[in-house]
Formats: sequence, C-alpha cells, structure tokens
Amino acid sequence: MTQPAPASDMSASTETTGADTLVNSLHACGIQCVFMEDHPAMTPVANAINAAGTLRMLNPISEIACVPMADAYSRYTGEPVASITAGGGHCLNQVMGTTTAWGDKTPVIVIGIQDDHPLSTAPVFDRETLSVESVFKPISVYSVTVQKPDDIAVIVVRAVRESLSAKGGTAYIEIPRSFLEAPVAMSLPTERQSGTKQPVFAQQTAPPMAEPETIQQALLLLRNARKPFIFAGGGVLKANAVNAINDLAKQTGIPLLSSMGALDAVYPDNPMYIGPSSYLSGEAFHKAIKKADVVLSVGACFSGLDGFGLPPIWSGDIKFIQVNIDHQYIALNPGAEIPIITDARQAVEQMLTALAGMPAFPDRTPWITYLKNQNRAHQQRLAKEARCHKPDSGRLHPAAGILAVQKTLEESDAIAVVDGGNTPLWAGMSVALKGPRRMFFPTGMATLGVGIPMALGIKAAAPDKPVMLLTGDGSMLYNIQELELMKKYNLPLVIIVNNDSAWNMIRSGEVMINRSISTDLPEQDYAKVAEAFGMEVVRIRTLADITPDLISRALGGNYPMLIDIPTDRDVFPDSLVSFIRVEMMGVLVPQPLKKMRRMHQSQAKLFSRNTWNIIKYLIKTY
Amino acid sequence: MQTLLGADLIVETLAREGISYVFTLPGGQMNPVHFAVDEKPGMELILPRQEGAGALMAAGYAMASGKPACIMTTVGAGIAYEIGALYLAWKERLPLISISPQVQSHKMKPIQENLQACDQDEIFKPITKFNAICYHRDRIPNLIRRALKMALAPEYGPVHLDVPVDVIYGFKMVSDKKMKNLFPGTASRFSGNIMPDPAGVETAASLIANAERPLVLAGRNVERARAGEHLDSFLRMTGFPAIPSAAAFGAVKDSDLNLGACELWHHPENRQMLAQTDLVLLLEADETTARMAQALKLINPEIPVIQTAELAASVGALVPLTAGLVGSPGAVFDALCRSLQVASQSLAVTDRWKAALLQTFSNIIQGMPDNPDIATAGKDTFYGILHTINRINNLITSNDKIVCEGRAAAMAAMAYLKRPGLHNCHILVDDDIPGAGYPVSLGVKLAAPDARVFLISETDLFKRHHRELQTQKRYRLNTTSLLFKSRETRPDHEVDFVTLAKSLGVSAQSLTDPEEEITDTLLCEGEQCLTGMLFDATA
Repeated sequence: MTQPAPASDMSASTETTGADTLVNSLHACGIQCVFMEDHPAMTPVANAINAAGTLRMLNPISEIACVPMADAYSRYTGEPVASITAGGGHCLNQVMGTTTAWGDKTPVIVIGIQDDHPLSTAPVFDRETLSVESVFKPISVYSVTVQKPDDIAVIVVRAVRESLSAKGGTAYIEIPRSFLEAPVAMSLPTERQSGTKQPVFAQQTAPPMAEPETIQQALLLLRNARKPFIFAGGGVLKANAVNAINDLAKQTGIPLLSSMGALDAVYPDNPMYIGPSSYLSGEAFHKAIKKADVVLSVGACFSGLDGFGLPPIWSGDIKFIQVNIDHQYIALNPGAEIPIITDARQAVEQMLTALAGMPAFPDRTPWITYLKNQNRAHQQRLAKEARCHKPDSGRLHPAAGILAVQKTLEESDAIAVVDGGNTPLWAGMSVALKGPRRMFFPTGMATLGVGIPMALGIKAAAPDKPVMLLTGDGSMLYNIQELELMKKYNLPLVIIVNNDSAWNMIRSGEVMINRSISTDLPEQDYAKVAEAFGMEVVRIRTLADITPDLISRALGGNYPMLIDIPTDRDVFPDSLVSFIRVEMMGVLVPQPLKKMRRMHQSQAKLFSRNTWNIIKYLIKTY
Repeated sequence: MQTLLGADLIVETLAREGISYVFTLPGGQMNPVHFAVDEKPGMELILPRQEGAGALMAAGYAMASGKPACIMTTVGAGIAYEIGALYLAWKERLPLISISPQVQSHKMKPIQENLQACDQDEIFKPITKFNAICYHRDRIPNLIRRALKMALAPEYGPVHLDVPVDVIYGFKMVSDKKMKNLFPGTASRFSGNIMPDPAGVETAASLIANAERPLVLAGRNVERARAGEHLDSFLRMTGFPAIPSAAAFGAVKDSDLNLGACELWHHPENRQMLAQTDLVLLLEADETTARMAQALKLINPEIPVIQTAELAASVGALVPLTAGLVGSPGAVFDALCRSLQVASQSLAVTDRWKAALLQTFSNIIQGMPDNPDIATAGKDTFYGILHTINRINNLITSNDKIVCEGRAAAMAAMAYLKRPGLHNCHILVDDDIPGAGYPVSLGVKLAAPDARVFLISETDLFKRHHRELQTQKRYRLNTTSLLFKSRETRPDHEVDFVTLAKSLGVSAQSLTDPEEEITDTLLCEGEQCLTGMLFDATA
C-alpha cells in the first residue's frame, strides 16, 4: 500500500479542489482503499489520490465489480471502504453490489460522479437528469446529492458515520462532475493538521454499556434454563466479538449456534460447537430451535434464513435474551424477555466479567451431546450419499468434490469465498473453517456471481493469504471479466467450479413439479474458459484426481488456478428444503389437479439416495 | 371453468398483448411463470447468463422490432443486476415491461428481515414510466395491460411490476364469465394515428414551400414510432437536407442529403454554417436535435422553426416556434406531403444551399481524426474502425443490421458507413451503459433472424458482457462482432479473446494484417460461423 505523503503546508488549502477534498475526507474517515472505475470522469479523483498518496486505488475491469470488491475488502478488514464510478448507467451498475452490501450492512461508501447536464432546466427531457440518488435511497442508510463543493467534506464524514452506525450499511453520495475541479474553501482537520497519528474522524467512540443488573438477570435466566443455547448473529463478526462469544459458551457450558449471517463465528474446535450455521447443521439446528427454553441471541436479526418466516419454525415457548446495538432489531421478530442495547462485544465481555462472581453453571452434557449427535448423523448421511453416488453420467456428487477439498482447506490458512445457489450450501455443510473472517458469502441478498470480485477484494486486503473461491458454473460467468485483475494487480485466486451444468437450486424445484424448463445450462468446460485468462487449469475426471497434493499445490502456489469439477445435477442439498419452507411459506399450497398430473411425469428421480435423505431430513426437521 | 395460477394470468395477458419473448433467468419464485411461457404457443423464453444482459437483449429486440419485450428477473439480487441495463430502455425510450417477483405479500412493505427482500419497486421508480405492486391475482391482467399501455404511450419507456410470490403461485377456479371480465377482448390501448391540426399543417406547408435554405433535424421518436418511411417520402418530395440525431440515425433513409448525424456537426464553425438556414424543421426533437436547434437560435434568433411532436408537452417547450404540429409522426409527415401536393407549390429550396451543406459535411468527414471524441478514444482505434468500415462497406446490403457502440466507433460509422447500410444502423453513441452493444446486437438478431447483424465495438466494452457468447451459441444467434483492441487507452491484461470465444462455442479470429480480406466465412453465412473477428487496431 502507498505510504501517506509527508506533511504538507495546509496554508495552500484555498487551492484545494473538490476532488482533493473528497480524497482527504475519505482518508480522514479511516478509509484506506478505494475501488474506482477507470473512466475519464474519474481523472480528477485519480489525480488527487495519486497526489495525496494516502489511499490505495484499484480499478476493476467493469464498474459493476467496484462495490462487490469494496464490500469484500470491508468484510475482511472491518474498515469502511469507498467505491466510485461515473454517473448514469455506470452508477446504476453499482446497484447490484450496493444491494448486496446493504443486505449484510457492510460499510461501503458508494459514490457516483454525475455529469452536469446543459439541458437540465428543460422539463421535457427529464430522462436526461435522472436522480440516481433516489434509486439508491431504498438500499442505503444515507443517500445525498452534494449541492456545493464546500459540502463534500461534511457529507463524506456524515456518510461514513452513518455507515458505521448501529443501523450500519451502505451510504450513497452523488457528486456533480464539475465540483471535482471546483475550488473548495472549507477543508477538514485531517491528520496533517491535527498532528495525531489517527485520522480524527476514524476515532470511534466506545460502544454503550448494558446495565449491570440486566446482565445479571440475563445470566441468571441462562443458568436456570434447562435447554439453552447462544445464537451468534452477524453483529458478532462486526463487533469483533468472536473470541469473546466462544469464551462465553465455553465458560457457561452452553451450546453455541450461529445464524447464516455469521458463517464462521463459532470455532469448530470449541467444545460447545454444534455444527455449521443455521440450517446447514441439518436437524441439529431444527431440534435446538424447537426444544430450547432460553436463547441468548447476540447481534442477530432473526431473518428468514434463520427460520423466521411467518409463522416462524422456532418454538413459541422460547424466552429470548436479545442483544443488539440497533433498537429496530430488538423484538423485531421474536419478542424479547430481556432486551439489551449495546454492541455484541461489549455485552459478551460484560457477561464474562459478571460470570466471575456467579456460582458455576449446571452441566449440560446430555443436551450438548444430543445436538452434536444430530449434526453428526446429518454429516454422515451426506458423506455416505456423496461416497455411494454412482450416476450414469459418471459425474461426481457435488458434495464429493467439496469433501475432497475440505481437509486440506481446513488445515491451511486460506480464506474461502463461496458463490452460487446450491454450492454455498454444499460447502457450508461440509467445510468448517476456524474463523473469524475465513469464509465469506453475501447472505442477505445471496447475490449470484459476486464470488470473483469478492475473492479479488479479499485477496487485495490479505495478499499473503491464499484465497479460494468455491463457485457454481451458473455464478462463474456473471463477472468473469474480472479475472483479468489477477494479472493486473497480482491477485492470484484458486477457483473450484462445482460444474453441474444447471441452475441447480432452481432446477430441483422445476424437476420436482415437472421438468427443467429454464434451468439447464450448456455443458461447458470452464477450464478452457479460464485458459483465456492465463490461469493454470485442471479438469477433474474422477474423484481420485482431487488429491490433497493438488489442493495444497493450488493453495501454496502464488499463481492463479482453476479446478473444474463436473458434478451431477440430479441431486440437491437437503438443507434447501428449509429455505424453501420459509421463503415459500403460505405459497406452496396444494396445487390444482392439472399441475398434480404433471408431477407424475416429472423428471425427479424418486429412488435415489439423495431423495431418501431429503425425505429423512423432512421427517426429522418437522 | 379452468384453474389458473397467478403465473398463468401473467403469461396469458402478455401473450394477448403481443409479447413473444420473455428474457429471463431462473428464480424459484418464477417457476410457474416459466412453465406457463413454455406451454404458451408463440411465446419463448430467452435465457441469458446475467440479468443485465437480458434487459439489454430485450432492449435490442424492442429497438429493432418496434415491439415491446418482457424482462423478468428474480427478487432482490436479480433486479439489482437488471437495473443498470434497464436504464438503456429509459434513456433510449424503448417499450420494455419488467416483471419481478417479490417475497410473500405479508412480508413486504415494510420488509421483514428476509432473504433477498428490498423495496425494489422504489429502486425502479426513478427509471420507469409506470411502477406498481400487484397485490391481488385478479389485478394481474389489468395492471399488465396498463403498464404496457404506458410503455407504448409517447414517449416510450420501461415499466415495472412487482408481483409477490404468493400472488404468482396462488390459484383459483375461473369461470368463463370471470375470464371475460379479466380479458374483456376490447382494445387495451390506442394504436391509431393522431392527426395534426389542418390549419397548422397549411401554415407549415407554406413555410416549407417558401424556404430557400431549409434544414430538417430528425429526432429519436421518428425511429421509435417507425415513421422512417413517411419521413423518407417527405424528404424525397421536398429534397430537403436532413440531419438526424444518432438515436434516429436508422430512421433517415438512404439519400445524398442525409448529412451524417447531429453529433458530427457540433463544432462551432459547422453550427455557424447551419445557422444560415431560413427554416428549421424540428421533427420529434430529442436531446441532441433540441440542443442543435437551440444553438442555431442563439446564433440567429430570427430563424423560423417548425416543430412536430407526438408528445404535446414538448411542442414549444424547447425553442420559440413559428409553427407547431402535434400528431403521430407518420401522420404529420403524410399530412405535410399532402398539403404540399394539393397546393402544387413549387419549392424554393436552392441547389446552392444543398451543395454548401454537402461540402461542409465532406470537410467534417475529412477532419474526423482531429475530432475531440476520436482523440479521446485513441487514433489507432479510429483508424482500425475506419479500415473495417471501408472493408465492410463493400459487403453491406440493405438487409443488414448494424449495431455500433463506443463514441469513436459510433462517430466513424455515422460518417463513413456507406449509404445502403445506414437505415439499419442502431447507434449507441453514449457510453452511459458501457458494453450494451453486444447483448443489444443479439436482441436485434432475435428481432430480425433473416438479417446479417454486425456489431462494431471495442474489446474494452465487449468484455462487460462477453459471457453472453454462451447465450449466442445456445440460441444460434449468428452475428458478426467486429471488435477493436483498444490498447492505447486501456490495455487488456493478456486476455486471449479468441480462446475465450472458442471455449464458449463461438468461432473467432484475430485479424492483425490490415490488408487481410473479410471473407464470407467470417460473415456468419449459414450455420458455420456464429460470431466474428477481433481486429488488432495497433497492427
């Protein structure tokens, strides 16, 4: 990364332009890296970045990749990041990434440099003067158009503050192009002026504290519970509370589960680890949410991905202790017996301190063993299904490919990004990386195709660590143009393609009802595609081809490699059933006779091991 | 009695409204819609590899066919990919209907924390003409009709409907009587011609007849309203020189007096020349032609202007007028022709004026390499384009379609493409939706399956959607993409485009020898060749 420029004479601030102010204020707010479109409108910003030498700048191939790269960079570093593109359609292409980042409340400052239109006063051509800001409003915590160059600094500070606030998430700033070169009188007290090492606006205030009595009450409720568990949400990752919450589970002897938004918040070597996040731990999660009497939820919002549809599939008798930094998430879905407003780390650390003065918590080994066994049975079923899978096509079971990679991946210090429909489910059920910030998936929006830019964004943030992308063939092509960046910035990735020649998450539904209409994809060798980008490629024929040596070599070598694994499309993960159950609640009512008749002609293979496993899953989770 | 799902009603309405293609990607919430389209005679699903590309293909289809097209993307993530591309339809005034499922109606507005849920209707609102959430199954036919009516009312544009998943999947027994209520069988929108005021036509005709140095500025809606033939009759009858905007480029037919496009005349000296006109005919003004008329008025406020427009609000809103006509473009041009015929007036337009304009146009073409737009794009790119255009000029027939994108390529094409090819040209002169050209060219091919379709673009733009090579192969959309490696401005990082195209099943060739002839095999004759060539402009 570029080192900050030596202190300069701030008396020259009258010559500061809008672009300089933008760059200085982004830096003053703690932003280290900017993902920016390579476009003539950006030239003043690029020049200002080069002149200041305080920000790192990366130029994706397409503007559509700016936000996903920034998003991933922020998810890894925990810092706010900026994404800047030209206006109009360029800026609207940031909507995809912004929606994705907004879905997971990542602090990305999205900036659009809009052209100034000469006909802006003619109402007939209102389509020339689109307010892009209004498009971004529903997917930002703060969105604003800069009205005069002097406002840039104040607005940037506000945007970063909002994006790091309890509400948290993406902020959008629209800047007229002419402001970039306009002189700016007002400047920010940046680090150069204040003389401190930390940029003044990056200094965070400490989170609020919970009342000690409430913490006591919460611990008491947990201690007296028969079958409690701790539920870690995305807020745990955001507040850097992963270590603390793992400690809390260990010290209280209470099982620890995580929401889909906190993929790697529970350490697999924690004795209180039950299984992967949410539905991915199979019946373990379902049993826990049905049988528990007290749940301590930390930084969770109880979305559909965690079983909170209408009605929820959680037991109605659970007493919830809810810790959240944002008022709106307290009792948003389940009611709260004990609500606590503070950030996840603060609450958990207060609990750890309070534990010292309390009698020991009761032994809950039978409850923990019961849940662990549920997950183990699920894992074993999956492994057996993968092992015994022998389709006519000779293609591998999708889980077999991932299980072959799993051990080497878990033993390495690699970071994994997962992308796709079923692929993240197969990967999530099979791979348990010791976090935090080892496994990434845009949970909120589950956007297809952000895998390549996200993996590149993480590689940019962690250049010394191998980054592996586990992706499906459907998601692979979405942003394949960005593979060029591997050479441009020396960001080598290891890509594993679960190539089932289908949009398989949707295909399973189509096939069950009738036949695949829109979900078959052409059989495509992605190894050949990757060759065009200068990657080393391996096309897998049999399971024996995926050796630990191959995976070690891929993760150890500092060169881009793609491994294409042709897999069978006639199987789907059982945990998908839970998603469908919640997302389609009240929708999949018994279909008319005509549609039922179709089911008799359906392509679904009724007597495969996969089908039986899904039926077992259904029975066990109901 | 029949049992119908919400999805069946969506498809039934779309079919009755004349939608043939649904551009879509799969999504669990849309499965029954896809089933219904699959079973509907005359309707087809087109499945690209990214939602944005789908919207651009739909835009290309609408652009070339003049018919509305449907783009259907899934909730949340799907619409997020679509929105940037739908902006092309908004800017270029193309009639697209975008339909997206939403989460269950009891979990939206305000959204429950839910997978993929967001207020997508609000995201669409600023770039659509009509926007609604269909909360009830029985409203589907009416809302789709209403949306399409708005999409096809002047000025054309995209419309959007959100349909909650429970409404899509919800089913009911529907009696014949109820069907008649849902589908009354009467016209759902106006499809006739709006006639201009006869007195206004007479005034305009008399001004036209007496003009010695007239100038026609034709805007986008001439093309969108398919009034090219009518304008052609008018121009042939009057012999007036015409300057279309890039968006209307395809609407002004072959003629010696088609003077490139407005965008080529921007230099102040050229405007001074044009300002010597004694009558501006501002037909269906768009941003470019309106700006030109305003500029001419600034130079010489005395120039009389006649404006014709389908949209009444725009008449007189741009420049002070001498006469204004409101009506359907075709009807207005025909009325003017008739009026001139009836009066049997001889026209005063002088040959000297025409010759002077032609001379200026010729100077513009010669000075093209120094044009600032060309200079930004890179001179090597320009010469590469020029070289290709000269070569394909020998091959182009009046049946071919050309899609041009990138400022340099568009400017060069507008200046140098040989006349028989002109009226089939779709120019995307703005780089506002970068890389739109390739998916648009695939949509154009769908609309005109018998035509040869050429794309003139740059690798830098092409790479935004090169994944769609797989779609091109899948639907056997034989087009020829002529791409320039724009190394001068933005280098490609050793991406081998030929290998990429071939790996996705599309034939490709890199031509580095400037003298190498374009052979028929490279021009997608029959089934043997799917796409075209990559020109190395630096060679």
